[in-house]
Amino acid sequence: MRTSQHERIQELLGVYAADAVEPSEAKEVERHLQTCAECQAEVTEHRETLALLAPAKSQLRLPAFNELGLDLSTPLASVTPLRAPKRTVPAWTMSVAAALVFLVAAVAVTQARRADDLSTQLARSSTAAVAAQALADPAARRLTLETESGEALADVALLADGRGYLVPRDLPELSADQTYQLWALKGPERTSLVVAGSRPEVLAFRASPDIDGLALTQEVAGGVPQPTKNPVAVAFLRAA
Amino acid sequence: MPDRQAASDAALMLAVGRSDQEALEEIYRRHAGSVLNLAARVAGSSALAEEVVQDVFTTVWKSPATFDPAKGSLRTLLLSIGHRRAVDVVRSEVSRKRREGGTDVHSQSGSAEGEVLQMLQAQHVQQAMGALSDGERRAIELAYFGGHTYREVAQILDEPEGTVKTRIRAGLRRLRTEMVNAGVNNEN
Repeated sequence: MRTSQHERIQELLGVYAADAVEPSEAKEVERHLQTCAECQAEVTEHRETLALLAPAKSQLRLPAFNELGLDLSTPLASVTPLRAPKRTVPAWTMSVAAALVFLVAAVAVTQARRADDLSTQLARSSTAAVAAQALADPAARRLTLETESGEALADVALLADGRGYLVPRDLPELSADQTYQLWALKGPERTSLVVAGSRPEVLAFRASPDIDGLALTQEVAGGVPQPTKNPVAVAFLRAA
Repeated sequence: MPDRQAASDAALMLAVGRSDQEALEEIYRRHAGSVLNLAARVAGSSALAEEVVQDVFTTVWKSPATFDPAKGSLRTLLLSIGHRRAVDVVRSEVSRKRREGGTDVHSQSGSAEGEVLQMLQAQHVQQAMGALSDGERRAIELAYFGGHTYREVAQILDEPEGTVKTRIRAGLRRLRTEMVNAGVNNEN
């Protein structure tokens, strides 16, 4: 059974790499790629090939970098802080503030040391490797996202420069029409950090260093601009 | 990061991860032209292509971890994101025009601007494309540069959908072989 599905997906890999499939087919391929290294490698090869086809010359004028109008002044604001109207804020967001009273403060950190030798880091630059490195970094703030009953669902490492890594431990797989979504908690604000998919792997995100905590919710696939569900797990910190 | 111009793409992306704007600017200098050209070819509009470029570099700035050297070169990543965005633009324009009863944006390839946007492919690419059968080449061009789904390509070419899928996959493999033999790659 698996073989037939694998073969059916294989037939789609060329057109998938060329962005020539329907959205529903793209999602089906992406689900398969999460568990099939062979197909992932083929897609990578096709994309490398297609990139070589990109036109080399044109009469177009490339805008100067500073003409692009990129918002580079606030790089940590990778998502817009969400100010949810009161009527749409789930009840759990109110309990978060109260819960903070009982929480152990996380260790405040200074700017994490950064090796200038980028080539050394490069060897370990896959997201999982960097996340593992961050979790082991004594200067990183480490958090565990726990359920109400204390079950640890995922670990998080927060670096002083705003980078963060979500490392799932035992996150139950969701149906394809759902996703996990990680939120930063800062006072009454709930800021989306990352839409993690139905079967999260190690993910990187950016978060402001002065957040109060994190929450993980289950939302509709694609994510939502503000949480609509109670969190399945939370973690709190407070700079000492 | 003292010498950005000498740094590899991967090193620059690590610097972007540390919010180094000048590293992003160097990446822009190296690769934005390719992204712009590809987006213009797909979207049929230089204005839309500039929006795509802006979108691509915003994505890279905000999500530097999108780049994983184990999954391909930075150039490939930027072009993949740009192509996806350009295709989205084309398809949303097609939907809008169909709703409004207008002409298909795909027909823009024959428009005045489409003529201006004719791009020159490198000689090695032309040679590699020459190794493909006519069916493979037309299917790849319609899908990749035309922004068509394989089902649309099948209708245009009056071929079974399965044939189009097979031709595109086989054509990409043949292209890869040709370009590997020619020593062409996307590495910085």
